[in-house]
Amino acid sequence: MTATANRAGGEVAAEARPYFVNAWVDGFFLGGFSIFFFVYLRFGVVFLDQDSGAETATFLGQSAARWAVLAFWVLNWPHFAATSYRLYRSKETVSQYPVTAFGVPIIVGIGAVLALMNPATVAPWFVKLFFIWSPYHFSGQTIGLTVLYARRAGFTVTPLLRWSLTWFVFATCADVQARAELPGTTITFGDVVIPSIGIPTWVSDFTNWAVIALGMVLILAVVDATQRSAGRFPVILVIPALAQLTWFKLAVGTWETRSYIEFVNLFHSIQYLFIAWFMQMKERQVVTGEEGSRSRLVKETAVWGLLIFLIGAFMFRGSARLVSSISPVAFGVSLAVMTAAFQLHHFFVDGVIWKLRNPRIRGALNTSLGELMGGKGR
Amino acid sequence: MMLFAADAADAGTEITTSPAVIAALIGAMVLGCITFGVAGRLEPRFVGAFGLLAALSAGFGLFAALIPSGNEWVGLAVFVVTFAFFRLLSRFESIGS
Repeated sequence: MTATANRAGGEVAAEARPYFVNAWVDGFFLGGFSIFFFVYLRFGVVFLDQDSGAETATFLGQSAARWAVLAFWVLNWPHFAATSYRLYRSKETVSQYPVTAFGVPIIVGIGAVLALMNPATVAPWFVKLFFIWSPYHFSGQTIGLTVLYARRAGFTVTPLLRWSLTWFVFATCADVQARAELPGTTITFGDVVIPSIGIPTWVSDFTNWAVIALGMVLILAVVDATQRSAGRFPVILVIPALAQLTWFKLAVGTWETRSYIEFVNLFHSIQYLFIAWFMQMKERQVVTGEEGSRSRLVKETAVWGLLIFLIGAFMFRGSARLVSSISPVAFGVSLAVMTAAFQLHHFFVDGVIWKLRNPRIRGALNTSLGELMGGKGR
Repeated sequence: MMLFAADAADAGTEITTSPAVIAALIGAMVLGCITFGVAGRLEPRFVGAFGLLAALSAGFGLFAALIPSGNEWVGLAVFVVTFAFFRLLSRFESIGS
């Protein structure tokens, strides 16, 4: 999900229906859960005995990782599958974005084949591309969700607010990536060892201060926009940016929260699936012409949920197993390369199918649970 | 690093180029030709998308050639350009841009 906006000067919603469900539920899915989880780890129950040394710490890491892997099956991979399903489910959507639907898979597919054939000389950079693109992609979704909720709430996003939000969010992204790109750092993903770019160490300090400075500008911009809106500011607009600040900044480098990183992909997926579910249900309602009802929602959710679960499982486990079973490529390599390939494709697809400047998308994203269940909505 | 074939020949060194770089250059060339071929026939957003794919392919070649960078300033340039390019990719095949 990525952001788009009227760059000419501010955005105003056509009609005010602020939430898909209500402030609490929407806030929870939008990032509130991830913020609570951070607070829980940081200040609440301490999972680890700090005095017991590395073995206990490793145990926590493995424990958290086990939970994260389980959640990957039911949240993270289905979120990728939901994107692919949105694009490929009909001739109409495919014909709307033919380069994304056919050109990108060919290019990414060739890259994946070359990476599989050259695990030491191509795969590291192929996987690296996905690693460096991923936080940027998260940032796009953060901005997109904020703009979406501002539009729903009828809150005017001033050019200053838009500018400061964009730069602040991307600064957190640059900051987390800068720390990963210092000289001599490597990441191992599957059996693929990925080198860092090797940037000057002062860049990390610079991005750190940039986050702080741009955060201050953002606060001033919020105050300014609130004054222009007669003192009314929808608090939910703060949540996506605050969640991203937590993911990329507050939770990094703290002993108690180091297992938090395992879950960041899941928090992003939770945000995504929440909005994608409403989109899917609304579009199905339009296509089938059926009245909104609880039973219809349950049925549609079960079908959609099962479908994206199965597609996701194939994309991120089945395909890697298949490749390693029909070729001499090690599973650790095929896992890394296939994961990178599907994620890279996802970044492209997500970039085109969620544009709020597309009236169809904008219209469908104005629905609510009340409307889908047969009422007029909130 | 041998920058020119003549230098390498003088030094008696065989030039070895990464398969990633070669594949990326071939990809960029093919996509550049496709962009030229479809220009004027397809909607501008499709032509632009092919152009961006060509740039992505070439960029991947640079990525593979320059990472890990021994020169931190080169590394910084790769870092900044990568994010700038992602920004450009956000307009990929975009409707109503």
